[in-house]
Amino acid sequence: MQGLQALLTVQSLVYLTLGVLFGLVVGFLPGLGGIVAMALLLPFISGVEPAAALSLLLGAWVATDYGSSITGILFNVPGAAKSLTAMFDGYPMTRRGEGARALAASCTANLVGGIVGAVCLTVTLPFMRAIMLALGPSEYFMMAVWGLSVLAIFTDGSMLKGFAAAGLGLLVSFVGMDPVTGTARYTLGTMYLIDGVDFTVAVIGLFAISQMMTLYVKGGSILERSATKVTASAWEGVKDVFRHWRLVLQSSVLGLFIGVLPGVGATVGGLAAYAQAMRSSRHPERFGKGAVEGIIAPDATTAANAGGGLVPTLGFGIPGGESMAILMSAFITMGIAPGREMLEKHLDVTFTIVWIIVGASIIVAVIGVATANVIAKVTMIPGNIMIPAVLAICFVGAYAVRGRLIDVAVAAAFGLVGYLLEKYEYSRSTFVIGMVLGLMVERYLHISLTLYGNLFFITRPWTAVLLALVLFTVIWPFVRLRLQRKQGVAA
Amino acid sequence: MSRRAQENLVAVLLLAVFAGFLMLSFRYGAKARMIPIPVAVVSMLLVAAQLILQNTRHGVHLNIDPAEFFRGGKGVDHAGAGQGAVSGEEGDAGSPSLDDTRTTKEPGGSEWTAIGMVALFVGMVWFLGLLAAVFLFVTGYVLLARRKWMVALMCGGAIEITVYAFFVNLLHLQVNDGWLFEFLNK
Repeated sequence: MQGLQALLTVQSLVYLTLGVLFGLVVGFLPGLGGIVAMALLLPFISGVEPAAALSLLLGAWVATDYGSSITGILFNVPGAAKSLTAMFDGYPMTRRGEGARALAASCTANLVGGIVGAVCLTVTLPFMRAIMLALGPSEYFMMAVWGLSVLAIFTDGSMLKGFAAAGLGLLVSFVGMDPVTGTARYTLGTMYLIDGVDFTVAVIGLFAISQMMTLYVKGGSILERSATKVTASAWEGVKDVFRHWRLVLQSSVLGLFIGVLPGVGATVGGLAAYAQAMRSSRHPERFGKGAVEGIIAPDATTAANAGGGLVPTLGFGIPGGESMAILMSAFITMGIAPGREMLEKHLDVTFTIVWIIVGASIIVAVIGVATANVIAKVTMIPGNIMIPAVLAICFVGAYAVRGRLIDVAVAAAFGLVGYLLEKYEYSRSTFVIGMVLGLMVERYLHISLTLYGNLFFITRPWTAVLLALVLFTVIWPFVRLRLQRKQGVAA
Repeated sequence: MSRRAQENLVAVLLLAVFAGFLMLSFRYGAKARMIPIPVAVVSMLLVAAQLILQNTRHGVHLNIDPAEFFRGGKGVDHAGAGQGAVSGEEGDAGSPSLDDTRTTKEPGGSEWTAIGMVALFVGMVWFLGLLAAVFLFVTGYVLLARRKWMVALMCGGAIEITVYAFFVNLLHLQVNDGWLFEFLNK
């Protein structure tokens, strides 16, 4: 209750609201994300009460999740890696005139996931430490491979092309300095590629720029004003989340546990939740074509992930991600030392943080549902106004990543690549997933081989369990198709 | 060029890219090439399989479903069914000749114009600087799309103000001045 009391002051609530509003705008803009939002707000926390300072930072961080989902749902452009799944079904819903419903489902799932994650986090805090200590590099390697194996589900129907795209994404992720051996790989002698291909720049090109090129070629707008009526309101989206309450609970718990693992990230959680939702659905063929469950599950997971990511940060002083590193520097500024004491002597601060996440989720949900109908109408803006506006913002966003002109050209090049991938039906999503997980797979494999030998995937029990899960994920689509075919013949 | 010829060309291009990665991998040490080589080899095999199947089996559609293949059946064309594709309409995954008869709408353009437009913007950024390029590109595009001057200027101005407020003012982004500005100041 002390934690809640610290939040329920005028100053803390005002800072929380400001942080949320700022986070929504930042999340919406391409090239930016949670870490940028928090980094920008750091100068404003000096001299402020700890609860208010944390409200500002964490409010912005929580809000960027929904902000980046908005672009995925409305424009088929993921604002961040963890929002990739938002576009799988969100954009098809927008095309059907259900953009408001998709947005409302996203922010409501965020709310419920955030609350469930916070509650579960509170209850399971004593056990999380044991879980973290039980898992090592070999388990992290398998988690990353699991994320890649989920591709087998996504590429149903175009598997050869899907895996080829994933292979290309993996290889692109290897460009640059190898973190294990320090070898500069595939740099073609250029200094620019020493740092590798920046993920944000690549995503801006692959999705935003290529999408605008497609829109130009196709003509019109994303949603034709008179052609497709708005078929579902925001309130439908809210009801959808409560209709699928079991899915929301499962996804939230999944997000919480994945969030505990430092470095695994929300991307894997979102993919895993999407795969799980598809597997447990009675109509998995609807996924990828505008199934609202495809938005609800990953968004609930991502929201709960926020709470889980706090555990290694607060309990061990190991940042659960880049944003957590910013949070840790804020703690040090405020004179709070992350570590064991956070879970023992300063438990009130920990609970304040939990309540801040809950409060931020509530504010995001209220703003999201209230504005969903209006924001969805953005998709009706004529193409000849939207195209130059989006292109301009995207190129500026690409430039803003590292302040280098060459990034603008790289974004344009990826725009062309994305256009061709889309036209010839090689999945851009699997390409990006390969890019995200490639280095993680490589790093943890090398560490596992060094520590545990060549047979680590059998000798380590949890690794063996995860390997079985990976094999199940890869084989299940074939088994399911065969069963469906048998049922079809029998009918 | 037929759709099949285009698909073959893209597949060959991908094959060449993977082969390039494979060849470059042999320059690096054992640890550095441990993961890239298998990934490149497997990817090449997948693309080669796609290329062979789509050209040697009549009636097999271009999107090969390995599950169907393993059962000895024909592949199923899943055009437009993948995530990220523009869904809900058949054959509209980036196709330049989309026939939308639902309502009157602004006509589309050619692919080469789209590519040229992107290249032009990059060139403008390099030549004029980021801020000038943003304003001129947006205003010029809206104007060329047969909108009124006022609308074009408002759109250009709005985007310029947004970019300046968020990126330059708030993020303290150091924007480039452009080759022309630097040349004039010499």
